[in-house]
Amino acid sequence: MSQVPQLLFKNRRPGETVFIDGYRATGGYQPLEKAFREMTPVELRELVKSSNLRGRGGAGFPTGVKWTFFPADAPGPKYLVCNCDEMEPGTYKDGELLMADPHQLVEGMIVSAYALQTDVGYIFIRYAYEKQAEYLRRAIAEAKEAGYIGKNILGSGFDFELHVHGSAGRYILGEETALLNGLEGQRPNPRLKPPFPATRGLFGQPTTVNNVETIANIPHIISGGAEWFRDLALTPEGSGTKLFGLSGHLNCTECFELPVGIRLGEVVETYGQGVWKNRKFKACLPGGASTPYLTEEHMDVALDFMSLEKVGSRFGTAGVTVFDDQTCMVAATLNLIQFFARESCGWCTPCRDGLSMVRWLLEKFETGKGSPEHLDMLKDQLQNISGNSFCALAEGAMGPVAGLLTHFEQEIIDHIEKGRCPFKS
Amino acid sequence: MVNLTIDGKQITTSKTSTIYEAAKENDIYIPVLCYAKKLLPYGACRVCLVEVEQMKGRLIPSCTTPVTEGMVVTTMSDEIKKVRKTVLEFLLVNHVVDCPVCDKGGECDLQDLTYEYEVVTSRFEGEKFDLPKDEANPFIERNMNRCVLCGKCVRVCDEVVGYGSYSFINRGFETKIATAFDRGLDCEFCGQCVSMCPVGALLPRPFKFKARPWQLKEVNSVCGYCGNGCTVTLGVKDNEVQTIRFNDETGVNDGNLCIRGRFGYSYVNSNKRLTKPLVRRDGVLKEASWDEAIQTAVQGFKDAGEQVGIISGARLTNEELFLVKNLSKALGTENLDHSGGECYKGVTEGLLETLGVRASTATFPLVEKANAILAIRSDFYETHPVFGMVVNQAIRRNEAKLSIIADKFGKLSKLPNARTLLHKPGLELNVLNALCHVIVEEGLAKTEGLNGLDELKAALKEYSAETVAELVGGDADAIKQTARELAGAENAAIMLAYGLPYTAYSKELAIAAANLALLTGIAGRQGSGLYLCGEKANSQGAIDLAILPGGKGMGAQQMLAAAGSGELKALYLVGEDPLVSYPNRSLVEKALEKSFLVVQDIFLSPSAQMADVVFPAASFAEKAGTFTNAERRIQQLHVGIKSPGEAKTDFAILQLLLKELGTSAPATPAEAFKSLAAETPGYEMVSLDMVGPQGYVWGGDNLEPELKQLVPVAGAQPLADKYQLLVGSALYHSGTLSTHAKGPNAAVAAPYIELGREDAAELQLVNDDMLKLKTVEGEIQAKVKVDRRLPKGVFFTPYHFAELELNKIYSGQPAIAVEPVKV
Amino acid sequence: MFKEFAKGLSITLKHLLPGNCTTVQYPKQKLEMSPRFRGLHRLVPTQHREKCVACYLCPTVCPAKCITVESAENEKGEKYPKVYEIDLLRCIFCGYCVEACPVEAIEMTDAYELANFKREDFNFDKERLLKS
Repeated sequence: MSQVPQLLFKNRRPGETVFIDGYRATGGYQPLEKAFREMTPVELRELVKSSNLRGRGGAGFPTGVKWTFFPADAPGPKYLVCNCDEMEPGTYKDGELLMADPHQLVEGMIVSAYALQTDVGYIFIRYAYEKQAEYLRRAIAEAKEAGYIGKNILGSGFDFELHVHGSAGRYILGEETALLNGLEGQRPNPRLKPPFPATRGLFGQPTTVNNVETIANIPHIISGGAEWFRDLALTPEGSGTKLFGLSGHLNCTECFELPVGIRLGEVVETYGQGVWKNRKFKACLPGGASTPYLTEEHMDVALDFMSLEKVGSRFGTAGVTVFDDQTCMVAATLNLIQFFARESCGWCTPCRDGLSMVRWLLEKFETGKGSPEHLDMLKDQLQNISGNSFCALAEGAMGPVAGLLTHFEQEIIDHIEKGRCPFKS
Repeated sequence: MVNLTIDGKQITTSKTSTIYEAAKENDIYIPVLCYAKKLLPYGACRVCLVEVEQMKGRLIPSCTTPVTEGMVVTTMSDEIKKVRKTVLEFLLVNHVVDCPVCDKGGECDLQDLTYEYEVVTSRFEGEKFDLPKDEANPFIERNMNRCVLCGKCVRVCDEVVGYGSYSFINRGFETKIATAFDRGLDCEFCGQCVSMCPVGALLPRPFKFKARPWQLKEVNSVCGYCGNGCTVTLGVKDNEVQTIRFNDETGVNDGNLCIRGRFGYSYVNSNKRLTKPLVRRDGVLKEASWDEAIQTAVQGFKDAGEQVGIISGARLTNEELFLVKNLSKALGTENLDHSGGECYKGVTEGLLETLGVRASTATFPLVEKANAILAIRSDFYETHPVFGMVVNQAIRRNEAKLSIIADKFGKLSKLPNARTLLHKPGLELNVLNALCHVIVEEGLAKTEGLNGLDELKAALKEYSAETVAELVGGDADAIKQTARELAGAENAAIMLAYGLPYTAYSKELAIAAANLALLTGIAGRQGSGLYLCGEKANSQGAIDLAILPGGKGMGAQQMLAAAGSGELKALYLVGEDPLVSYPNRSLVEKALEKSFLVVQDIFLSPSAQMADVVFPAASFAEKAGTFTNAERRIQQLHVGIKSPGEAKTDFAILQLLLKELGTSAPATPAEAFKSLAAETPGYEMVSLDMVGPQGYVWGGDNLEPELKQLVPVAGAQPLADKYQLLVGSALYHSGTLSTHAKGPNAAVAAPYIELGREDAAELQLVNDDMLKLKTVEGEIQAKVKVDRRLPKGVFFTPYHFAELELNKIYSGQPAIAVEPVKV
Repeated sequence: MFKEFAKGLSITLKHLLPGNCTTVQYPKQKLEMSPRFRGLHRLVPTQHREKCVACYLCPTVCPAKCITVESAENEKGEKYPKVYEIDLLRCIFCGYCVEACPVEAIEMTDAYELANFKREDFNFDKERLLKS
């Protein structure tokens, strides 16, 4: 375990938070100094692009490519927004990261802002992360004192303001355009794309929205270089390390920093220390609640974006939730769908009413009132809801349902045939 | 331009259109629920999903997806049909399906789609909501159980009206549309939301359970209230206007209306309408036959000889005004005037002196593209609300910079980034001069071809932004900023609304506005314009047709004075109620009392009660003819219903009078139009066939000024009195006519005196207290309305209500010095 | 030929015998109508009011245009027919009104004795239709 290189969790000690002195002691703010003194914004953007860093917020879009869409050289106000509205069930890595080492995000924000030439940055933080927000504010104040935030940073002529904005707390705020609406003080509905935030984002100005972990990786890429970063991953397509938040029926449910491309089996057995109560592994959500299930047969799958897509799931946020063999997958999926149906913003019909109807169908099965027609209806909804909704919420919500239908259809049929949930006595 | 294929059809369309728009242009049907032409793309209902070959694997919402070159679109397939059907099933899960009692039944988009996609039963079961109905107001009924959450009401209220009454609340399945704090609706009741609602969630209450949509005969006409000239589509059944229908195909208003247009039609059906001619016998007005009434009137006119005066209203059609003019010729009098004689006439005179034209130089839709807008008087939104909506769109869509020269705040001041150049009452001219001063001083003026620049420069010396700001109590930087914006804008608009309550310095104000328009190059430039907006439906027509005193003739005020002194023997009032709406009540009273008075009106107005002969006339819904709106657009009225009783259209009455006088009259309004077009400047080339659904703008979109003459005008000094009363127009009313309509009356039924919070606190007044305002001339009293829009020491009262007898103290001054006394 | 003649006559004679007569002695005797018979209309009452909600579908579908409905709002805020009239002189008893009714508020009874003395008596208003 110890041979795994630790970037983001380098300073992590149980129950402790590292502030500016501790952060500097392990090389903190040196990448920033390097970037401001030795690199141009263009070089920085090139570096990030060649590092092959992919967004850590769930969608996995290459960050460097995203930054190339950003009109960094255009005049006028531009914004950098950090999405820290982490509300997906099973995902808690950003909270852990900020509890341990908030300065990483602050440094990352400053460097990214320099790369993108934005003079204002916002960290949009989940309402429940009160402690983290407090630490972030302290870290920002420290950084300001140290001259890393403010006017003419390190004599580069670059100005940067960084604000922490507390979310009102809705899952949909994690969608970047809904987040921007929320940040503007409006109801957080997703916005129509195009125009994309890079052209018309926050307050109608060019905006880039990146995840906490993505931004926290940038200083490490600067200090280690793109090639080193790519080589951290165990698969050739992957790059860097990833925070894996383990949860569910495991003996150890903690957050680990592991290389991208690690085998699922290794995560479960070595880090999760096996399924609890000596039970058997049944399924897992590999990347948070909106990813289709993996089963026993996927134990050797490398956890990275490409390989998981090949087996019909997604890497998502790498929040691995494991279910033991005594879990009713219908009930588990119902639980997830209840969350998504409740958290739908109510904008588009397939998500608002469709998810509620999926919930209704799953309730039918779980309570033993389902019929084969209901199963057909559920299968229908995969086609009717996924891909037809306004934003990715409904599509993500249908992820576990898709997994349920691919891997556990027999379980639904058992529910129908027995007229009750077979896992309940 | 972009080429694409939709359903195998090759289509070329503009690159800004969406798939849906491209399909619609080419008559390819795609169903929609949440799409609306005048709103921004939304994409929530997912009924309009189509297949695009380049984006296989998922269905594409056609209403939000822009077209791209070479796109191949399929609008119908088994999969599409299935998905659309499922969407409808989803929508019906919590829909109450009470179509038999829903007034939308028959024109409901959800009903139509359900029928089209044969959604006979829903496979899903879900909770039906039992949300309480919102019937807190008399205009709009909200039944959220029928809502399909298309968001059109939310969007139209925000994007077009600029009021923002609605928003979504809650999440997921429980999402619903609500007002602030989920209370009853309390807004300005323009009813745009009602017109946009695809289902029966928002319905007009006055029309509740009155009829089914298919029973209504739709008649397109022009709203008879203000000079905006909105198309109103009358829904007629049983010879009654049952409702105003939604119509965004015809006219200038894009389907938008204000409370007056949408809910103010009921005076047409009022049972207080005059139905028989009245003749005064033994001092009492008694019903008479038309023959008798006409003969008595003509006899009276003949007895008066040349001492006859005609004062016409500006709600008459062009054809009727033409006959009024003919009548004045037949009577051999040049004493002819309309609408108080001052105000709009004064404005046009000012414009004639500077630009050589007598009308707005551009059309309303151009304002939507303007970069900078200057509104003179805050009442603009209240006198011409639908034009106000155009301004709102200019700001929201085009980020136009709006400045308002105003003595009080209004709706326009609340629009995003609006700058209000607040001034003490009666000092508009000073502010306008200051704007001109800044432009000249900073070298921003477009001086090419301007006459009188040096004189103007000399006269403007005293009007530096700083001096004026100090005098009017404003901010010099704001004035400078506005001037720079106006001078620098590619397209700009200056808007000046006018009506009966503003009779003071109207000509000077127009000159000052024209000076500014000339210096900024707005006058005559393509895309920019100076807008003069008359208060009444045909104010512009009355000016065009020159319903004005002839060479030696007297104007309205002079006529009234002359009649009071016995010099003028007979007065003929056509659709005008001077006793209520003209300044200087004692003068009017005396004039009406002394003269032989013939009044032609649809109600027995206070003026009509003093008449010797009263002719019952017809409302706009009962006549054919044309109105010319404030942007010079000639539009046709169509007969919707028959007049009640023996009432006749003004056209028919004037025909009778002309015949009795032995003169020939055109037989029909169409014939009258032909004759009037021949002799009215600007109308020469216009024939009725040219006046199509969008009307016909005489002079073209941009009217070229004939002159470019700068004329210096002097500003004023503020009144020193502590309390000053402003007279104006209220949003819910127009002239005195709307006080007979249920809708406007339900919103504002009685006169009120509005004052700011500070004054209210100082005078210890709260809402609905009685307040008396004393002046040297007399006193008025009304209930108090405390608001936030008035500066300290300034009161406001609307002039529409007869019972206020405002003109006892109002004699045309810009602000009235008053002494408030709590009753 | 005679044989056929006798046969025919025998049928006639047979019907002369008591019990074999097909003539109904109307009005002493009345026929029972088939359930699908379309006679006089009836408005179905509920406990407090008529079932009809004044949706205007019957006057719309009526090919003879003999139904007059005027809707209004009652004190409970419900839609009800303030006026509901059928002009039986124009009615062609096609039964479309029954078919169109979304709330089964109108039905056709088996009453067929509809003769009357005055034209006005053929105008069935709401009260009469509720009682019929």
